[in-house]
Amino acid sequence: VKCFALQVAIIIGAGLVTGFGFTLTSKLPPKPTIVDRSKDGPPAHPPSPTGPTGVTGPTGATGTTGAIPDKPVAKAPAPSDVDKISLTAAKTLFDQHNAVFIDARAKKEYLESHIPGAMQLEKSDLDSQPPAKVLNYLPGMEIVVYCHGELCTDSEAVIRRLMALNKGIGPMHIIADGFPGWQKAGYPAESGPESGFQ
Amino acid sequence: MSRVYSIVALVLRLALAGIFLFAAYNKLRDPLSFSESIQAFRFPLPDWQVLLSTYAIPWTEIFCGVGLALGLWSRASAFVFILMMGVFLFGIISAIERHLPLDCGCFGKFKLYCEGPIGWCKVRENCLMMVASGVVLIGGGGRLALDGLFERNSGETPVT
Repeated sequence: VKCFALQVAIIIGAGLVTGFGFTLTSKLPPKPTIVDRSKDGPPAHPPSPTGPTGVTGPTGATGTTGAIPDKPVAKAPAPSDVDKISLTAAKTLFDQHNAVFIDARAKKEYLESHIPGAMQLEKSDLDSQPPAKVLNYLPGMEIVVYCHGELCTDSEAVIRRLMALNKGIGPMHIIADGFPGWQKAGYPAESGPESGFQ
Repeated sequence: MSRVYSIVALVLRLALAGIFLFAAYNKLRDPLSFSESIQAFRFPLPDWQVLLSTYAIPWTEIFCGVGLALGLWSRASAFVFILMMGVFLFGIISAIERHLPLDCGCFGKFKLYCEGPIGWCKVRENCLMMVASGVVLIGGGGRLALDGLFERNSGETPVT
């Protein structure tokens, strides 16, 4: 019994020690700090488009500034900030055409239905060389990422990988209620393949 | 120890070792996804524990897998396998109860048997592997294991 217990302890110990050794040399990108602003009002928006000059969104919008809502507004996030926003705030950003919406769900789900003009981008797309559309359209842009809602972690995973690219993408938002909430609120949706991002 | 049992034990050991080594390889190949899978279970673990688990779990799987494949410390390896499966099972059942739509991250992008987000199929899959490990734990690695060879060389009668 002693010998058996010793063997078990050695196997577990070896796993822990080796694992600990790897954590010391780990190069995993840091986990983003996400501020929950989903209970606040719509985010304050900068008076001019945050995107680079000439960037045209997938819907053809050229970054026109929308009217700042009358409701009390939350503090404008810094470009390095990541926050969870409410559906109302997401809809405001959608109407202003200043942000790129990113669908972090599986492609099959995207094809069935998505927010109009959203870019389909799964976390696995960013595990190796990022797709050209990411480098062409996202640097300097405000982005809104969504997946299945509160319990879904794919939006966070996509944001973590985008931050690791260090391309000045941001501010970044996550729709707290995700696409199910968006649909439930009766906001616009479309189906079919992605268009406008090359 | 019967010849039949030795063959059964060999098949079980190799199957379990293959599963463990494949799982470990996929976790170490993409540690970021595995760490996110651990976080997706939403246990109140500090970041350092998530990071340690990200590497310690696959390395423990590798040591167990090698032990089972060679038949070296078969019982201890099978026991650790069962312990780990127990922890995974707890996590899976807890996630099912909390309706978390997550992927277990057990085999990276691959699936062993169960498709889609974790559910009771995953519980059955893990239970099956626990039973297979239990057979090795109780019966030992068999004659075709290094344990059996050492026991014969040391003049001991292998435990049946």
